[in-house]
This record gives sequence, C-alpha cells and structure tokens, in this order.
Amino acid sequence: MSEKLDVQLAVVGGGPAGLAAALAASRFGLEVLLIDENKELGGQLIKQTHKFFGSHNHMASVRGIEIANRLKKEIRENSHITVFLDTTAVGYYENGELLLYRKSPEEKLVSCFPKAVIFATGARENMLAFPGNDLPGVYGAGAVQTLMNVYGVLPARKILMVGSGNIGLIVSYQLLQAGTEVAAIVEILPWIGGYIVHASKVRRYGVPILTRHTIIEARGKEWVEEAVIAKVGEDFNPIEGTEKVLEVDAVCLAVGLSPIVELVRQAGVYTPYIPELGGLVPWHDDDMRTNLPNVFVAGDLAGIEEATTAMLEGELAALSAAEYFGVKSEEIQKMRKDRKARLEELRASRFSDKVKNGLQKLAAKRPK
Amino acid sequence: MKLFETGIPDRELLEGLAPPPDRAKPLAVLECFEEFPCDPCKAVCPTDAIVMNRITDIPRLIPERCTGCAKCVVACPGLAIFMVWPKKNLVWVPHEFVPIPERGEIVDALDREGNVIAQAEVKAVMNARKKLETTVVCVQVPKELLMEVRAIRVREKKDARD
Repeated sequence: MSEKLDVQLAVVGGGPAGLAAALAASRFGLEVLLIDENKELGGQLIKQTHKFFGSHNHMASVRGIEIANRLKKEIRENSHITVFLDTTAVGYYENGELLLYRKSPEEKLVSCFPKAVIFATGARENMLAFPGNDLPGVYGAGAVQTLMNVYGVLPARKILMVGSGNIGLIVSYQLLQAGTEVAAIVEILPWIGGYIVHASKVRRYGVPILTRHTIIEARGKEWVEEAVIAKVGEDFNPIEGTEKVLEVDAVCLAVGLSPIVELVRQAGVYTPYIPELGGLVPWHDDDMRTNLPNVFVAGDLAGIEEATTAMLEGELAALSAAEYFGVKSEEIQKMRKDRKARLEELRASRFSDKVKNGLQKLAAKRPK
Repeated sequence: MKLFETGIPDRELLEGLAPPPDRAKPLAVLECFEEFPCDPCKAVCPTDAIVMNRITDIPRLIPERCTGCAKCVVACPGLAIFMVWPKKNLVWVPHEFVPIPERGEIVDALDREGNVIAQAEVKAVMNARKKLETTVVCVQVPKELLMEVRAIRVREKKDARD
C-alpha cells in the first residue's frame, strides 16, 4: 500500500546534523518533514554519555545525551516540523521522488516529491579484515554503544579495543564505566589518534594503550575466546614473534567511518573519493550546497567529523535551503557568518588538518 | 614525548604544576597538554585564574587568582583537572563511576597508570546526586603522593551488587 505526501523540505536523518538543520529551516518559515529510521531521534548523540569539548558558549561541557534531549524537545514543540520515526528513506530518484518505507505506526510505503532535501544520513563503521572477524563477539564501536547506552546490555566481560581515535577511547571509557574490563587498546599508528585527555582518562584506570600494534586474529569455537595481537613494523605489517594472546570474550572495532552516500548518489549528486573525509563524499561547497540546486548535505555524510561540527553544518545547509526557497533575510547572512566562524574556530587545531585537507581537495573537484 | 604514545603525561610536563607546601588554599592542577578546541574551564572560573587567548590554546593557571573552588574540575570535559592542597594532604579527583563513595570510606588511590598506590580516606564528595554532573571526590593521601594520585576506585562491597 502506498500513499502520497506533499512536502516542502525533507530532512533525511535525525542525528545532530539533521536535528539542527530542521530547527534552523523552520526558523525561516519552511515546512519540514524530518525522517529517521530509528525509533528515537538523536542519532549517535543518544549514546554519548561524555561531556562535549568545544566552546562553553555552545554546549561544551554538556553530555551528548543531554544535547539530544534539548534538541528533541525543541523539535517536539515546533509546529513547522513533522517527524517520521521508524521510517527509512529507501530511494531518491532523478524525478525528485523520495520513497519512504514506514515501519510504524502502520507498515507502508509513502511517496513524496519534496521541493528540496537536506541529506544528513551519517556514516557507517569500517570493518577490518582478519581471521575470525565473523565470530560473534566482534563488534563495531557503534554496536557496543547501542547495546550499553541504549538498551542497557553489557556486551562483554573482557574486551580488546582496536583503534585509539576518539571513538575507541571514549567507548573504552564507557565500557569501564559499565563494568567491562578493557584488556588493551591497540593502535596501528605510532601515536594515539584521539584527544590525549581521553587517553589519559582510560590509562588512569589501568588500560594499556599499545601503539604500533594491531589485531591479527580472533579465535574461539562459537564466539570470541581470545584475540591475538602483534607489533607492526614501519610497513604496518605484523612482526613475527611479537604475537600476544589476550583472553577476551569480545573485540571492539573503532577503525573509522565511511559516509552513507547511496541515496545522494541515486539522485545524481557527484561523489568523488576523498580519503581524508572518509571515502566517497557528496561534493558540496562551504554552504553545504551540492551540484543539484535543491539538494544539500550536512554532518558525517559530508565528511567524517564530529557532532558539534555536524550541528553547525546542519544549520548552514538549512540557510542554503531557505535561500533556495527565496527567503531573503538579514538573519540568514548573520547566522551564516557566525556558524562559519565557529566552524573555523573548531577546526583550528591539528586534529582538523586532515578534514581541512579533504575539504580543499573536495573544493578542487567542483563539477562543471 | 611518551604522552602521545601511552596517554601517561611525561614527568617534565608535570613540573611546576604542584602547589607550594604552605599554600593557604587548594590549587587547581591542569593536566591538559594538547591544543584542541575546548574552553569550559576558563569560562566557569569565577576569578579568571585560567587564561587562554584562543579556544585551541592550552589553558594556563595563574595560581595567585585560584581560590580552589573546584568548578573547573567539575566542568572539564576531558577530566584533566585536579585539585591539590598540601597543607591538609588532600587531592580532588573527578569520578564518573558507580558506586560513588561516601565520606569516611577507604578507597583505592590510583596513579596515572592505574596502579593502586595508596589506601585513601574520602574526606568529601561533590555532586554525588546530580546525575549529569561530574562527581568530584576529595581524598587524603600521604604527602609524597599528592602529585601522583589521579583517580580512585571504590572497593567492591559484598552487598553492593546483585
């Protein structure tokens, strides 16, 4: 059974970027349909129990879950925003049709032709190739967070963390808080990937961080019973004779994210390969416009970063969408200047060098 | 610098952070050694004792201005600020684990690598009941460990679980 729907602006994805985009767009009078495949808005924010970094004036020192609660409340109280939860956008076609598969309250397909779309579909986790990676007990860090922080299920008694970026470090800390022992964090690079304060925080509770190390195998009969790690050489290959066996019942992979680009590609958005931004990314300018005049992008989809920058990008995308609909207001220019200045400030440290390189490469690939 | 490989601050980084032994008030100890965008410690300080010019700067403490209020210890998202008072042999550490210890309780005192280096008595607990706030636990430790103890672990009680 299918149904048709009249939509001005669709926002696909209700994580930090999508929530911020919907709220900003509604400020300029746009009627928004916000779509998320989960049963709850907030995306990754609802799993983030740590306090955010960044500027005190803009929700730093507030926990991710609390940011999600604040944004969700604003969305609920906003009469310009309709929310479809438990709904997956399954297709976006060249004729402008956005096809929605609603799982509840009643299972059905809904077809709409939104006049513009902001995609904020986020990212998916990267997998790592090693023998035994298909054993039960090998998790992505997102799954571990969902189990612990959304459903209250302890994913392991003793775990090996692979990857020392901020996600690997933060999830290790959350595992400790939940009562799981973290046997070690292995990092293939010669240095820790995430913020050092996060690393010091887990180290203080006795978790060794092993740089120049990787997992080479997970073993077990029916589930993970042990993990084999080894030192790597300059070429990142394991050095024979350095193998160590850790007795763990789970392995958590936190080895990067890739933007979820399938939908934007269907519609004809140009998606060059920019490794610094996570792989294939939709081409976009610094106002979050793509090569299609009525399609905008924000958040991890537009390049892997973090929630604070995702929210700012969501707002920038909404401003561009408002202009597309002919809204003329000084407020747009004011907000744009402010959000861009904040993005620049947040990207000023060495942690953003990679993203900034990626964005430069992306800019150079502007389609004709 | 080993810090970026291990997460353990090198000794040279800690030089000059310890308060003088006769200081009248507790002093904040900022173990934040890396430039990245974060400024809540500066923003919450009521006496402007923490100085940063840009949001990515490493915060610098002006000891004469610090009143030992512990607001920065609570606010720091990186849990990288502690407070030390040599006069009373007290250390304040952030604590985001359950159970939260009670005053008078003896807890394990951990160093920056997670080694148990002392048994310490809890002298005060801040924000014990505020769910979203960071709890700060004040413990008394031997004088020579004031710049070593950086976390606590509550010993398991027989009746605390299940």
